[in-house]
Amino acid sequence: MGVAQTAFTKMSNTEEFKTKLNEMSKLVKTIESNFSQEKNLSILSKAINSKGYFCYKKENKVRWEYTEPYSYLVIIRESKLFVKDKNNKKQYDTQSNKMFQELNNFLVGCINGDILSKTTDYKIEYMENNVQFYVKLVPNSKKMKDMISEIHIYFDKKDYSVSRLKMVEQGGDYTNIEFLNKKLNGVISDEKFIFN
Amino acid sequence: MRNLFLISLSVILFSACHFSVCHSYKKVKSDETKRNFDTYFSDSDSSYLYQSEIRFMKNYYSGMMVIKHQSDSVSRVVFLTEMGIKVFDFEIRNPLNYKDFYKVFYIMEPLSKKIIQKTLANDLGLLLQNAGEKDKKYYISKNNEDIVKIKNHCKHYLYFFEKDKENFKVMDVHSLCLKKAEVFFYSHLGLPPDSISVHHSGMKLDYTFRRLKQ
Repeated sequence: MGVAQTAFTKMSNTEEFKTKLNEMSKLVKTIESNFSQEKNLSILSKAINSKGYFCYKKENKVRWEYTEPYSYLVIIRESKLFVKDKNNKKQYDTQSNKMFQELNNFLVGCINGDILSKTTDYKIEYMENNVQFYVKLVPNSKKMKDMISEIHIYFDKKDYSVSRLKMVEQGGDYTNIEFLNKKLNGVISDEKFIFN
Repeated sequence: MRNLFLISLSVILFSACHFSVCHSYKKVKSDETKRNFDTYFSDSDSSYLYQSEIRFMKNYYSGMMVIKHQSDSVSRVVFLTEMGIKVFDFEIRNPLNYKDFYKVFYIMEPLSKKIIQKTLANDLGLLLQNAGEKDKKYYISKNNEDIVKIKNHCKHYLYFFEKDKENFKVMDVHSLCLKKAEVFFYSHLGLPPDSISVHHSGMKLDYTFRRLKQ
């Protein structure tokens, strides 16, 4: 049974949190997790739900695998982007799909906590409750703000891993990604990042 | 004298276009069958979700497209990456009735050039146009398809219907004698279409949409 969460209040010791997060980030070599994603658009009465599997291996290997509402796989490895869905299997260089690579880098930065080191790019607010640290980032650049006006990252107090990521757009539409069954530093075969 | 020459040239060009657009079809007087020229997405109680791919030159965008019909012939079209990041968000009115038929709520920077916005809006507008109020000319093809032509400014639109079917399967867009685009609507399970594809002639721009059940 889960612990009832208390309300978020201002974080008591942000320096300690940042130091520990940094230490954990250095120690974490792999992350593996299932995820459930909810996209809320003001024009829709119901959210668009997606599910899948995520894994990350240092330095820059990422696998995002959607299983619902349709099968879709993105692998990033050595500045190559590989995309596979039911009908297509393609490899792109980052020049032709720079936008998607930037987005992926941003998402990975949120998940491994590296984004918090970009203090000149974001205004950052730190909060906590009994089970989670909660960090709210507001981008400084107009370009980024036009795309995402706020980023909310929830870290598990037990291991400093990200348990929820919420990206809010101008106008209030948002994407909420919950990471479930997380496994840190497990063995992840390099085959997971091979394009086939 | 110069004006007269230009007017004559225009008349010849437009007559030639008319001939070339439908020259292989037999003109018929009228169509007795009930035809639907409205968009497939006119039910404001529903929203439509499609897995989508856009191929433009060497670029490839994949994600989900949401179409939501709102009041007064206005629809919203939102394209999202699989990860939920919004790529564009348009409001589109019937392009056959309005000159300024679209409004951009958001478009991601690589696509935000005016010409790209306009191209996207024109193409998505094809899925949302209603030709119900336009004058129509009727033809029949060698394959016994019923074809209905409408004209809007300098463009001709050909709607292809299977015999005795109410909804069109293909829409061709012609401009200045040339076929500019083709839109295919595939419906195995009834409305709305299970998949849609838009192909451009003379331009590397194609769209594929596959319907997702919510």
